[in-house]
Amino acid sequence: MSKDRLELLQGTLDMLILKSLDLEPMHGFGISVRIRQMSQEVLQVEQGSLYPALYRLENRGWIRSKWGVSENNRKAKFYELTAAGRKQLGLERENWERLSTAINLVMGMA
Amino acid sequence: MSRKPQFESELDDELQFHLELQTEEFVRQGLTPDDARREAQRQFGGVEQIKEQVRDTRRLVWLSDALRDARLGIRMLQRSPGFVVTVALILGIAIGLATTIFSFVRAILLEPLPYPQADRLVVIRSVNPERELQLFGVSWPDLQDWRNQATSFDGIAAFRHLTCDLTDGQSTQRIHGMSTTRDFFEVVDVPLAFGRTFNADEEGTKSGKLVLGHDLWLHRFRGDPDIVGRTQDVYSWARYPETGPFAWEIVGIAGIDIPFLPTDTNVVRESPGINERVEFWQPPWVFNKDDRTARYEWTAVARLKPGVTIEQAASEMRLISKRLADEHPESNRNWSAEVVPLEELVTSEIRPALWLLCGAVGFLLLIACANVSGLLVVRGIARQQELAVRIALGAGRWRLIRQLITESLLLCLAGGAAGILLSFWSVDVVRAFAPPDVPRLQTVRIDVLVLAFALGLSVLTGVLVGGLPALLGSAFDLNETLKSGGRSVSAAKSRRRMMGGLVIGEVAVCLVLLTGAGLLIRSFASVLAVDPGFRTDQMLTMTVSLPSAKYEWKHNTEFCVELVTKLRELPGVESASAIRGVPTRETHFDSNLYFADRPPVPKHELPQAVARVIEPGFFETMEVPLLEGRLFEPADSIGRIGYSRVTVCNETFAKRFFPGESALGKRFSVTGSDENMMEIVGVAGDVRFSGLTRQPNAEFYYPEALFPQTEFTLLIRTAGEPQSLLGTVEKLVREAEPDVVITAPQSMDEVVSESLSRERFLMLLLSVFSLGALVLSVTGHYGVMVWSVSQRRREIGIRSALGATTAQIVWQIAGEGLLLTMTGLAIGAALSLAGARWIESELYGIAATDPVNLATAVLVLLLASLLAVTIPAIRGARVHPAEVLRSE
Repeated sequence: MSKDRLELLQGTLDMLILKSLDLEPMHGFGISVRIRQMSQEVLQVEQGSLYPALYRLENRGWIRSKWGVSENNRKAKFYELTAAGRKQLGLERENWERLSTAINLVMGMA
Repeated sequence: MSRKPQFESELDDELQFHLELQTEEFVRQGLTPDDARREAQRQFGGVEQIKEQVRDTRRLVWLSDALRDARLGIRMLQRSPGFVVTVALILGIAIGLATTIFSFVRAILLEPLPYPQADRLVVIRSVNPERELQLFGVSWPDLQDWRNQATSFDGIAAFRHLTCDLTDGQSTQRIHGMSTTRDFFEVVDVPLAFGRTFNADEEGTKSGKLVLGHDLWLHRFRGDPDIVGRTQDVYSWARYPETGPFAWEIVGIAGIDIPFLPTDTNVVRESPGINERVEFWQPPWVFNKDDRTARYEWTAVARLKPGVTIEQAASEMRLISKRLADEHPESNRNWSAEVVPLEELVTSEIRPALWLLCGAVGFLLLIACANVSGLLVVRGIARQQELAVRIALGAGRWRLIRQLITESLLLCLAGGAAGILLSFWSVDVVRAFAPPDVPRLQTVRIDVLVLAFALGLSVLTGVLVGGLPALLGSAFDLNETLKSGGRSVSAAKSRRRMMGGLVIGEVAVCLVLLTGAGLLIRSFASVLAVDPGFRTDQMLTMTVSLPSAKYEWKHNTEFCVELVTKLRELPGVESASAIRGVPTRETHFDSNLYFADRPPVPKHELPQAVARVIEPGFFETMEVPLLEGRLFEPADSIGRIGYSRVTVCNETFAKRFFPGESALGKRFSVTGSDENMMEIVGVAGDVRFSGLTRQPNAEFYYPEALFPQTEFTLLIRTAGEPQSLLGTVEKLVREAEPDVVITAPQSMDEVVSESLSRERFLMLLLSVFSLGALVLSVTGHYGVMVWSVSQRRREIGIRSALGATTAQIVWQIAGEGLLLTMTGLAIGAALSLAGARWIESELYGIAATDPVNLATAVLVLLLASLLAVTIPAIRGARVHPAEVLRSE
């Protein structure tokens, strides 16, 4: 849609999904909207990446899913963080901070 | 109405929902609903593509999970090598034995016969339901009518086994082949490599044409195609002797080798085994062109037309037989024809025994599974804390079950590997014990299919063995487990129920095996107790075949008489004689009986008896008792071939044909002509020529070798160990005739023992299986008891603190254990009785439902489990209450 949107870095999608679920359980569409909003319309999650990622995360036991009713009264699959997922989010946040600091240093932007 | 898997339909719903929300958002942004939908779809991309991506991820995740499970499993197992070795051993033995038995079933029962499109080959045979006769054969005139009238077959060929001596003037070779109608090659589908098959005008005459088997051609004639058209000297041998050599023209060479087809061994004495290959074919010599009662002469093999079922063919043959019976009542009344698949005929002897072994080994495997399952449950409980922690960390129940099943799969694969190693060895051992006349015994081997079977079996046992403990292991309440340190009450209850179930199952199945083995052992004992009718120890026997090129009719007899006389003079020989065929291995040929002074009977209702040709000294050497009258005397000999004035009959003969009176002085002939009448001068005891388990036939003896024999069996009563004389006797025989062929030099005890190889085979295998089952089920029960006692230490401690005596506690624990045994025994007994008919056909002299046998098996198992139950109970009861309560 817009040229100023960025492709996600490899491996960061999982972290973003976990982060977006940190506040409340959400369905797939909600997650993609949340990531877009939080990134101020810069990050766009492709559905083709989102749903496989959700499956992967669920299988690792970081998130779990439940069928519930959406805000517009429809059946929707909601995802929420598990304890292990919360722990993983902390871990990834830490890694990301170290990584981005390091990259900024290298690029001379710090 | 196709139902998608839950995963797929959920994914559909989820993506659909996403698409709808996206559309709504575009509407909110001001697009028309149509444009919004189009735009959402465009942005969304292909739904199918997304689904495929999710599926890919799913597959990838599954694989990496499986690998992780396996890695984790291997790590867990590495920590307890003793456990792994125990389980691998138990499962290895069970899987190994099952694989071994399967390799036999596959080679003997499942593999198609080595004839082209063997599944459509059938044998048509004459049956007489009225007289309960099931002959293998068909008479020549009946065969012609069948061929002309039947439409269910692509062709009906006939054959008869034949043995000849093939000679080129220098070396002679004994060859086994068939006399066949010329359509045999089309019906059985034997292609020719060179030359031709027989012509119509060569059938039914002594045309002297020959088609060589491929292998014989390669070896004897060095694969020379120019041999076609040449003549070879052939001495016909076997049943229908021909005088002198006969020049045969080789008209064709078979392109393949086929094994012999089954025929009635009662008809052709020297019938080659089903495992041997046909070395030659010759056109049929028909001896009874018009005699419809000569049903022994030919065996009919036919190929079903495509699409025609056995039942259709059978009903057509019944119809034709009925027509023949109406047209020829004097010979064909009550006679019908039966259509039997060749496959069924070949395997009919061994099939019930093999299925029995399959069942037995399956039971053994079940017991092994139950045993290992029990071990895994006990282990699973020890690991409950670990599992609980993993659940607390977010692992799903299904993931845990998968983890546990992966572990048991690994265990079973280890067991399977051990089993495959074992089976390479055990196949040879079992084959060595198998009766040699089992069809295709030599093709039994461990190949890819058998290995695949072993692998499949390992995986199956893995799921079976791991499934229950895994379900139980993961089915506990997390909080409770963490709190109580793995001793939750409700989980313990269901676990104890399951362990009890395992014990009951093991005991029940074990009892079935024990009962079966007991039956076979007792049956074998009653076979051994059968009086063969002669003294078997200290007797040497061997079969001597003379080269027919050198010996004609009379010379054979003279040679035999001279040889026996020389043998008698050997030091260490008490007496010697000879007979055609080996007792207990002998097959026979019935002669018609025409009694003097009795009204004539139609030919097909003539009484029959077996004729035996013996050398002087037979009764004395064999120590067959004379019951009445006298034995043969030198004066009885009148030196005419094929005829004797006197005969000695056996007890069964006398009782059957002269009930209530003496057979002495009675006269009969086998030809119906008065000048051939023989007088019965003596009645001898029955000899079980056809095998110990067969009732003796009505038989009568001809003195001396009245019939030409190129083959006879020497009977030598020795003063000492029979084998010690073997060398001397062989040397003597070879001195008398250097070109002689000596087969099966054995002691008579060995001959008898070999005739029981099938019974011994089954008995030994089933005994091994049931012994294994006994050990496994008793140790399994023991293990469960030890576990159960350890689970109840607290309870035991409290009870003894409250004043219960050790005896009371022992009694309570042991009583519970014995209750399991009893339940298992009751179920097992019911199963044994219900399954009795499966083993019936293998038994001799004992009923399959024999109560003493069942009671013995029950007692053995009861005593064994008494040990398994009381030892842990006594140990457990010795626990000091203070010790237990302190450890809490």
